[in-house]
Amino acid sequence: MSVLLEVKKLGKSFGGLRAVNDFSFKVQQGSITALIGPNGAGKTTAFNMVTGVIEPTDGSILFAGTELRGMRVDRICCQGIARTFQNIRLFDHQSVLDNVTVGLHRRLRTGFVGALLKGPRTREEKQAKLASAKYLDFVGLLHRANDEASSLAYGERRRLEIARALASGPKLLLLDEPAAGMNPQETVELVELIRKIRDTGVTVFLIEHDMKLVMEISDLIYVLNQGEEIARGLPNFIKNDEHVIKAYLGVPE
Amino acid sequence: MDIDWGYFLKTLCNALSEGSIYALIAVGYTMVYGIIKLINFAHGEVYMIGAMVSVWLFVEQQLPLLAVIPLSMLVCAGLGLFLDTVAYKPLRKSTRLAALITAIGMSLILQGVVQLITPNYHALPSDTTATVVGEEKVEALAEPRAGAEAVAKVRPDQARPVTDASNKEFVGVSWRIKAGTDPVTVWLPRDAVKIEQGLPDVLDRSVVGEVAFAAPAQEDVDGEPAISIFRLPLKDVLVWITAFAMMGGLHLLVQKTKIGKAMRACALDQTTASLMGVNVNRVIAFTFMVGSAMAAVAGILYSIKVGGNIFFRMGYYPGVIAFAAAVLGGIGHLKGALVGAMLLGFASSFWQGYANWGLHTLVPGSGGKDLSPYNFAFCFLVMIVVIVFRPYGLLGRAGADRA
Amino acid sequence: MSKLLRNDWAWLGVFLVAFVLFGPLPPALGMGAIVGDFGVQVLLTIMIYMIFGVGLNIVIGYTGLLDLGYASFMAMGAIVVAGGLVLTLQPEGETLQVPLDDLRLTQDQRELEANANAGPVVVQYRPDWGYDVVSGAEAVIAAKQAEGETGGSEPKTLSVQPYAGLVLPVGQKMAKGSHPFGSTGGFFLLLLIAGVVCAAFGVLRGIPTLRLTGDYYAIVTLGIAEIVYLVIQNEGWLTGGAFGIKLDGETIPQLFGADPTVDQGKIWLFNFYYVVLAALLFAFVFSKRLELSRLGRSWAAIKADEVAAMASGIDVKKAKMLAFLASGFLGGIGGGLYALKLTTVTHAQAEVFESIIVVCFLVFGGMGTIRGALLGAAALQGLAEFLRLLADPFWVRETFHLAADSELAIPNEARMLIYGLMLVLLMRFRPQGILPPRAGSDPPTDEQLAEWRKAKTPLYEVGGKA
Repeated sequence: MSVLLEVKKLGKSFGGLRAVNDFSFKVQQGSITALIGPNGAGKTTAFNMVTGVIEPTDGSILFAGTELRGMRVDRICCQGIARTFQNIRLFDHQSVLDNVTVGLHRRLRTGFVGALLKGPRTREEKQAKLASAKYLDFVGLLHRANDEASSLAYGERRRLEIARALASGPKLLLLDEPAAGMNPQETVELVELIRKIRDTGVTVFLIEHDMKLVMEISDLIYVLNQGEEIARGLPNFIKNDEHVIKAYLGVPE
Repeated sequence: MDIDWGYFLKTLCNALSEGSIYALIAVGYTMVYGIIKLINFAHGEVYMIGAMVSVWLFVEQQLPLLAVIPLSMLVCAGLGLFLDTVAYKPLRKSTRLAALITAIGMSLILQGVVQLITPNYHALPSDTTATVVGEEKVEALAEPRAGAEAVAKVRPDQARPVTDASNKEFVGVSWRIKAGTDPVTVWLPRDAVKIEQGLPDVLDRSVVGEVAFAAPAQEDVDGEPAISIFRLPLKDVLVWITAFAMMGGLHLLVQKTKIGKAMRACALDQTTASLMGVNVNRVIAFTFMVGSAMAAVAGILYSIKVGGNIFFRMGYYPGVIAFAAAVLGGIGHLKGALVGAMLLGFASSFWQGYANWGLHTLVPGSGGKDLSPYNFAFCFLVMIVVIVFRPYGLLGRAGADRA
Repeated sequence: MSKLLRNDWAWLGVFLVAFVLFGPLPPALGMGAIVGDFGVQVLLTIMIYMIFGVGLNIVIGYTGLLDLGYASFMAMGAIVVAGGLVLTLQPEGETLQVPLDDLRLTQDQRELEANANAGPVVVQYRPDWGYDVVSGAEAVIAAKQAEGETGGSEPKTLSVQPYAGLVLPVGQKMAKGSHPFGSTGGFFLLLLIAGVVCAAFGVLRGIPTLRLTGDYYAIVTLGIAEIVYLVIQNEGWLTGGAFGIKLDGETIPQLFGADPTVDQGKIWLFNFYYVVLAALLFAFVFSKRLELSRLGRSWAAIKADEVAAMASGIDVKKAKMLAFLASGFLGGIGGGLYALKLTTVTHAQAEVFESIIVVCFLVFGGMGTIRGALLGAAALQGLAEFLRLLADPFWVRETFHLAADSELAIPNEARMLIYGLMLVLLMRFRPQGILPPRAGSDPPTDEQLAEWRKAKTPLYEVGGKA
């Protein structure tokens, strides 16, 4: 199993505040790796550095050998990384199907001139629509294809966002608190979906607060507290690690 | 280098006045934006109405200046309250775009209403043929319509009286031949024109002091070295004192009073402020009122300084420049509004005063090219550069709340 | 039915039919249009404003950026075309002093021209330029006319500022055929140039705005539009200054063989009308194809959520630039056609209020749809014309059968007020406009679902093998 994402000595300072310090981690291809920690631990900052939203102060981010640091967000997507957002960013006033089609953007070719000369009835457009439908089917939303995205239930919205992310054909899928705001039933369905994604060969890396979910599906867990790594290992190990328990100030649910 | 100091001081004097007026308008923009993130497009029109009301009170109603100021402030505060209650509050939960378009709409409405109400004395009957004025004889072809009071009504600064060889008096009036073209001068018989005083001469022409300098660029007269006299007009001093007093008062209001504290709290975090017991809607309304009252003073000061040119569109450019000043200084910061306004006032006045000189000095052979109408373009350029490169302004902080 | 109401092509079809039915009839038939000559001009204006609306919709409606400076494109397109048509043979010069005696009235007593020994002379001039003798071309003309009767006056001189682009050397009027843009093909080329120039300007203007959001983007476009307006107003040598660029029988190009000066220009007007209609059709197809393409999707994504769009692999900067390019292109073409309709292009075309008018179309019609742009232009421009009629007390009296001395009318100055009221009321009660975009439709049928599941496409490859 090879290392897909290798992050070395990642650090971020906001003025005098050291949000992330000397954090190194690896994500193995085909695995589900989780990053957890109490609020304010720096998980989202680390996440945003990998996805290109924030510029790291120190460290390097290697994805399949390519340095991601300094790369523009949309270029990172072209490298084969896709992400979802904690507060679910959908295109609310478009149809569910069209949301997914946007995800296909980097894999389609038609540009400005092509659009003008060839019009909308090209083979590529047909294929795109078909592929979008299939991605929807994968996450179980095909019956809602023509509905407006804003009409979906919360759990469905998350799944749509995942479908859109998958449409870009990523090797690595980054999930930002995917279970946030979900009820237990939705969480169970989410677990199944993440497993299904992993089984198709996509590597998953996620931040999460829902311990039950994390413990259930992760192959490897990293724990951050106040910007620094305090533990790493298999779920069973992490569950009982005293540092982790102390950091959370309470028993994880 | 020989500097014409008289000219320089005059430009400086204008710059200070222009900056002061912009500052009073700019604080309104910055306070409103700081609290509800809305560019109050109609603010320039509040300024315009302030100017109009004050002139009307002063000239038609013959009220003393000390009464005109608070009355105009009151009227404009009411207008600000009206804007908030009727136009902006119902859209508080709407998208930013909707609020912005509403603001634009209110601006148009105010301009439209004023345009309809104020008589356009410059609309001469369309069959007026223009006149010919020669060195000796002036012929006027325009006569007032039967029963009309006058063909045109002008302010003293717009009237150029001329007498021809037969001692008949004529007055030159600015008139647009065609919409969209520049106005030309039409000569009318003196009794067809009503010349109205904008301000009493005392205020208009009084001088506080004067200084004489050697004038390097001018020729000596009768063997006496040419001098350039700088006269410090009373009205400019009045403008500075009033503006300074108003800004000081505003500062005290915001820093030292309970309502001022509430305003600052709402600007920082509305939700928390309301949880602390602040009636956010009232504070917002109050902010509009205060900002509008300031704009009213700006209008008064403008009419004192310029004496004329009060018409329905006069609020547009100052409004945009004042907003640029607010952005330049850091939107949401009162001190920033003052700094930005002074900067742009200086930019505008000094451009008008020296741009041509600069051009002719740097580019020989460009004589005849007049750059001075571009003073506002220069201000717009400054605004654009600031917004693109430093949207948080000079006094703002990077990463602070941006648009 | 509601599906039809949401179909852009259906709306286009309705408007096209209306334009043909009410437009000018083939001159061979010898009949006038149903709506009369004035009505035809109104329809022409509506069509041109529809093109503007479609163009601006690309930036505001598709991409979600409130552009307040579209008037710059409208004016630039007009100036490029008008200026190109009035091509000069003379370089601009300095202010001349032309003795009034060297000026004489043209045959129709309506213009001035100079004797040959006066050198290059301008047909229009700025009488307010530092001289307090004359106050208008009419004044000199009146003086000249009077001169003929009273036996002349003292010799005076007149300051004239020649404008490159307006100067036609006396006695050397360019023959129609030799004018590079005077023919039909040449005119279309000029139109294309106008589109390209405006597209380039759109891109250039867009560069500093790429990172700006909402309010600030609007203000910067406003500022740039004001600068453009001031430049157009003051740089007379380029743009005609105060009096603008005037097109006349000599400079208006022939269209498909029709000459504007022949037969009262009836055939020419007919041809021009259908040229504009074709341009509208072009603009529609242009915009529609972009809307339904990969690029159009990226615009919609940017409008909805720029961050998510970027995360989905969209190059936001490039997409925005293309929007500015496309919108500018259509603006330039519309502007060029507008020049021919107006025949006099002044800085009034660049006024920011003109931008606001087009924004009003979109806000009214429904932001984000072509049908909204078409409806908005038709409704509001129609309203504007109606207001113009309502400003004439005579018309009001006749139409509403009022008393013979009634002076009831809505003054022209009410225009601003009415537009303002409309914007405010719309935002309050129907912010999405009359025909807003609607994304949802009926759920897929079982057959559709089966078909989707069965078909294969190389684009669907879950597993990181893409």
